[in-house]
Amino acid sequence: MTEDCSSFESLLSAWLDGALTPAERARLGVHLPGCPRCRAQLDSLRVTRSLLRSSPVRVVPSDVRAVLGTTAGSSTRRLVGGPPALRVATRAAGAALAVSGFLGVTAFAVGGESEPGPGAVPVPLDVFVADHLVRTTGLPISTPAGFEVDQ
Amino acid sequence: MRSRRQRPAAAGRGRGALPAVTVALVGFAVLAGALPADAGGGQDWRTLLDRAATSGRDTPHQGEILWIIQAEGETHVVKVDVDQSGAGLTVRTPGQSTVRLSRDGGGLADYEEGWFMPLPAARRVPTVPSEAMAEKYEVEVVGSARLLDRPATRVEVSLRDQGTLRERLWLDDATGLLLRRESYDGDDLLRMAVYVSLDLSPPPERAEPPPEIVRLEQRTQDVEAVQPVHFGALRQAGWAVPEVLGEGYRAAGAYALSGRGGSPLQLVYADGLYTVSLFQQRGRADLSTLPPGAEPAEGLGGRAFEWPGAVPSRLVWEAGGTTYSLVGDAPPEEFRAMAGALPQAERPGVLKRVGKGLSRLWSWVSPFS
Repeated sequence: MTEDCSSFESLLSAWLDGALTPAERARLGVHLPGCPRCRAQLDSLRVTRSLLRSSPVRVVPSDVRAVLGTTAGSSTRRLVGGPPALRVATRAAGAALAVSGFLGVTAFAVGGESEPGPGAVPVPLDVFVADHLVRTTGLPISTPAGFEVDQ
Repeated sequence: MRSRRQRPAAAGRGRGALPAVTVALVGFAVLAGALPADAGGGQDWRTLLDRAATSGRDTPHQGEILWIIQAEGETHVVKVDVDQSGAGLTVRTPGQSTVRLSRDGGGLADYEEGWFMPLPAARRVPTVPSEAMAEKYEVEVVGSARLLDRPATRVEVSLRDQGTLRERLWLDDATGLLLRRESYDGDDLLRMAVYVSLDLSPPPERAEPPPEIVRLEQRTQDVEAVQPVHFGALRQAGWAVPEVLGEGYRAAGAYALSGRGGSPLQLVYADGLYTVSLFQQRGRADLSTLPPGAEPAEGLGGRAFEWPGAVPSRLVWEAGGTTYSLVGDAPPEEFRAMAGALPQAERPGVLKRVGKGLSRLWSWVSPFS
């Protein structure tokens, strides 16, 4: 990036947001066609934003949401009303134990090794191998080939 | 796992192929041993390797490369057809996919499934300077030899710190082509790629892409480069973007891909001699889409797979809701170490797992999270 480019750097993000003033848009519009570095920077910024948008979103799985909703409702129902004091205490203790146990089991289940993700994705490994070869051909020692062997 | 491909006829099947391979190895060893070795003409290894880097792509030639691979105590033999017609380099493995590499890009063709995917080359990794190689490796021009009745120069590459032999290279004196390459871990030969036939008479220029590829279903993939200045933002968003991977493999390029498999991020790492690409996809892996030959990979936790003997090496594993694929030609020990340095699926104890689960539940229901 040249020295002149530094004054445009802060404008690139706003350009993508459509938040530049007409004058700024005109300045950048004149600069960009003649500056491959700023264009690359702009492309990279756009791509990075796209990658950030694909960052994992924390979503409560529907089955967990359903179970939690049911439990909250049933617990509430059990704790309301006006039975004798002992029965209330016993039921409260039982309910607390049940809720704790349920929470423990649920927490164990959802605390496993994998985060709930957006779903299974295909892994085009053959394409990845070709992508690797295309991007790295021409480096010092290159013997391009992509194959698997029988086991 | 699907099994959609016929294995290459030339591929040795385990121990059954061992006698033939042994004969081949002994033959090569005798041939190499019988070759006269001299001072190598005092050539500079940087000049030789720079020339080798471009000649494979630019020198018109056709030939067959025999690959001999040692993996998990077995020897595998695969023959690969190479065709540099002037319009591009086509590398075809019988019964498997065909990779095409050209100045303005490349492509991957799968004739059995009937598709071709152009791969834009505009975003190629810039050349890694020879200084990067010299930091980690000792490179020496060790002598001359004759291969396929052609004069060649032999170069050896060893780890600078330990002196461990990594590569023996035979470079054609006339064209600079890499005629033979042996990859070692010290005394152990890991794999060998050697031209068993070579025709340097320029074949007629072909239309690009070749007519047989035009007939295939055209798949598309877009590629965009990501500038290093944006790596920090990617890290904050949960992508693994280390500057250095393993021992001396530095980030040489980053690319956002699109097409089948969502929007993978490709990071390329190089140590001057070997290159590795790390692909990251959001989500768990659909195992039915993995190529045949996958074996469980130990030591990476959770679901992890490798393809012993495949060229280039490949590993796929999951961690934290992301699928990681590592592809490259680094020696197996370094390759596994690189995967080990990346996010792993955790195997927590009961209490830690319950605690993590409670935390996760809280993050789902809390309006403040």
